[in-house]
Amino acid sequence: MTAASASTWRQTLRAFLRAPSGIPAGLALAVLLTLAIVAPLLWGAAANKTNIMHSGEAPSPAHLLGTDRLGRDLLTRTLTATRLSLALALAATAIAGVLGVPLGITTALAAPRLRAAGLRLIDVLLGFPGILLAIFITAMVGASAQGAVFAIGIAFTPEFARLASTLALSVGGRDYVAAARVLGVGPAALLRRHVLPNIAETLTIAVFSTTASALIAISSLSFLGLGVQPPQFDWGRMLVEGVESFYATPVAALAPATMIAGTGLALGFFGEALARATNPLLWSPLESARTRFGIDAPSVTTPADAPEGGPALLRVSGLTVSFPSPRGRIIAVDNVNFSLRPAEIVGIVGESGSGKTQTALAIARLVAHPGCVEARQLTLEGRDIAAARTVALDRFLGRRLALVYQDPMASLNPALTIGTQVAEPAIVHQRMKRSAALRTAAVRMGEVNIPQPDARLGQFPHEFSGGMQQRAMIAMGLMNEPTLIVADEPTTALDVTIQAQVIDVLKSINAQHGTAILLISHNIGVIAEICSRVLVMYAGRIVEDVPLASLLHRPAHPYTQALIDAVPDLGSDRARPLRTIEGRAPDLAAMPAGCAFAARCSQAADRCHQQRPSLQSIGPRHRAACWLATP
Amino acid sequence: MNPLDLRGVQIRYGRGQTAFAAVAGVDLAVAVGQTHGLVGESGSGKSTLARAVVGLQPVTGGCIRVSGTDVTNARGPALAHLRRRVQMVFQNPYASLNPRMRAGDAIGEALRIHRSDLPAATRERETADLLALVGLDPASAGRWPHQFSGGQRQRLAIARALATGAPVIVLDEITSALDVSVQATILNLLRDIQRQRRLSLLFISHDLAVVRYMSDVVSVMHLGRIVESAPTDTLFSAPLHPYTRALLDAVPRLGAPTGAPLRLAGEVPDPRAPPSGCRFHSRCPVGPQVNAARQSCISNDPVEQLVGPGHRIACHFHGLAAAASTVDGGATAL
Repeated sequence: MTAASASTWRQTLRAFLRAPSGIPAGLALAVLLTLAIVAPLLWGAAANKTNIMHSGEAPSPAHLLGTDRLGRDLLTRTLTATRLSLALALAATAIAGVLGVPLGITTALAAPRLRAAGLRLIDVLLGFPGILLAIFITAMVGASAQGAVFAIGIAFTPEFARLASTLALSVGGRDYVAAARVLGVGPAALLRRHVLPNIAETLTIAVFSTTASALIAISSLSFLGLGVQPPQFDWGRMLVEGVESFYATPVAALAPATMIAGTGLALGFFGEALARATNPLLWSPLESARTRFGIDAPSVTTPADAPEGGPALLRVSGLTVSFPSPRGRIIAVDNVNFSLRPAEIVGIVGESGSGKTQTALAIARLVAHPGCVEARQLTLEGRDIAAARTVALDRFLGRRLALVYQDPMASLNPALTIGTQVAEPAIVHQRMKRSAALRTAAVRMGEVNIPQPDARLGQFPHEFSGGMQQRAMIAMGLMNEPTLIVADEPTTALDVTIQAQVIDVLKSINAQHGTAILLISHNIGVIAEICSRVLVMYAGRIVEDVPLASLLHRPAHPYTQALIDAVPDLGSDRARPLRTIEGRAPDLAAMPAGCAFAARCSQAADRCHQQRPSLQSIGPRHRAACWLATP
Repeated sequence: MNPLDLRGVQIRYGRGQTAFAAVAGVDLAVAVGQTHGLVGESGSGKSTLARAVVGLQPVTGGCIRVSGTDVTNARGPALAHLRRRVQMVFQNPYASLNPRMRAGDAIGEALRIHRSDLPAATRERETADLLALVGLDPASAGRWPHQFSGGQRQRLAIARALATGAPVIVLDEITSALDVSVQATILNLLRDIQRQRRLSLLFISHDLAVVRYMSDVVSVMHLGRIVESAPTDTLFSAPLHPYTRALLDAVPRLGAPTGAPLRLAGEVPDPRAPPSGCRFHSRCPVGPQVNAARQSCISNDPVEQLVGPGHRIACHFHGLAAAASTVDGGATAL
């Protein structure tokens, strides 16, 4: 595919030029390389011309940087030294790379025992300070430029070997390598096509940063008198000579030092830009499929629903969560309105990108930076929880609201006992004594069906199974007797038999304590098991707010119906294909003017494409945002 | 002669004291053009078994035959036979495609290995045809994996497996990383292609409804063993093993559930230290925990028996299971 490879090169070049450090570092290296080639030809003679009459002069028009002790022009010397300095550093890096990378990769791909021995050997070699090893080697082979290059090359080999083996080990465990092996890709092609391209980026950076280190290391050896010997000179050698008269003519030392530092920086930045440029993931951030939210949708004012039967526990009105992005504002949650009554269990169902998790996080005031939360009204027990953050508000939320996350293992601190963690909310928010809090923790853990809770207080999270960890998280949430539990996919990481247990626990908590639950899930079956009312979200908007009975028999929004039909259940007709939803959720660059679902809706009319429907009441406790549902 | 036949397959991990069998003697066959569903919870060994079938995991006992040829821990020609005949689609489409390889190259690589006689021009046409077959734009051959959505990547992974021409495909949880509406399109696509190409599928999932929808025969796996195996309709309408019945009861339903569900107490035991005798006895809702007369479950490992056409079960008391559960079903909930 020559066309493809040509475009690969073009895109690589474009990405390189776009990288913040690409152009300056590339220019700097180009200048250095040019100097390395032409400087000795142009100024080699001048750089070596001694003139004892003008020894140690300060900068002057004749000698822009002054002269050294032997009256040689410092500017031409510094420029001329570029060739030798760079050549030595590159040669040392080449030795380290050529020895180290194959050593590391073969070690990583060797049989298990050989691999373990090889990795240990590399670690032992790494334990040696490189510069000491280099000094030792130069002492053996004799102080010369070649000796220094050889020594530094050997000294840097373990670093390359270690990096290459670590990278190859991690890539070797990926599914795409397993997939290639199943396809029958041979070892050489596996290495060339699947392993090397995926470790090249990091190795590239390493080559350039190692060159910078080698430059410094060789200069150090020269400085110690172990590297370049007069009359040859590199920047390190010039440093030796300059430092001797530093107080009289500081430029003599500063000029080569500046070159060493500048070259090091240029090499580092160039390597980084090159690595970015060769990674196709970074070529076209605008084409990535990550953005699935709506953007700058016309704001439609929807009246907040008036809950029947007493005051609302939670009232959410005009809730909008947005994130800045290079393409403009991404609206993850778009003008959402709903309320929860005390002791009610309400579900939010939707696919990824529907905004269900951001809605939950906004209620708990946990939307991550740089997200922006706006709401006309956000109240819990009548108290404004969207107000400016105060200690009192934090304490209020800490006591009245509990959160349960999807992954219990990630939410529990592995270094603290279960008892300490479950008891903590009461200690922090109720100022309970530790012993009393632990007693309460044991009671709460019993309520969520953790057997022998007293004995388990002292155990660590890893001693709990996934289902037990999730129940411990729920017990923690119960410590302050909250009025609302927000549970974000609490059973998604669990097995189906354990999921059933956790759902039963949530049900019994609701029955015993009258705790309201807002359950977020992609699984409409889980929602139907426990919720009395369901909010269906799509592209950041609530498209339907429906009592459970109507959800099953008369969903009003075509998306709700499609979502139910798309999921096979234990009664699905196996002879018929599953109903699918054609197309994809709206892209943020092309958020439609009308209904967000119109493009995928089989019943969409002209109006649906042009005008955004608001969430309207269409029956008792039943709202839908659909032109077809509202007469 | 089945396209895929497993006899007494055992897979042990580790050595000495810490060794344990993740798969402890599994018999399983996939017939031509059939889908064999394998369902189980985490730790049941279903993914280990999948990796063993495609040769990614060494087998420590039993044998795996592909169209009559023994491919157990295959090397050389037997391995080539396995690669030609059995392919796999992995769970996570974000991990199973090389991020540095364009879509067309991923398929082209499979074609180059398995259909090396194709000239380059035909190979490109074949790549385009495969992309079209799985519902992707043939012009997307030049795109990188990250430019596809999760569902599109899984289509690409399916196309890559199909490119080899293998008649058997192992599908390990292929929709669990996808949204439900995307899952439906992938399942429909697989069923269409299977019919067109008479593929034999080993379909592995933790989702019973999905397995039921896809499979002709279903095996239920628990701690490294198959506890029940039957034609799909039989297994879902008349399950006999208490574990199968508890699994079915645990599936959340959209309609109102009928009667008290059979709930399993406790946790899935550690597969590194499975219970003695019947490996399910510690959680069994009709076993020795609730019925003292059934001590044999603790000491004796049940042998698999044929109880109906294609219906096999490993339970000492399968005949009595249905009757017993109505008595204590409610009491054992949690």
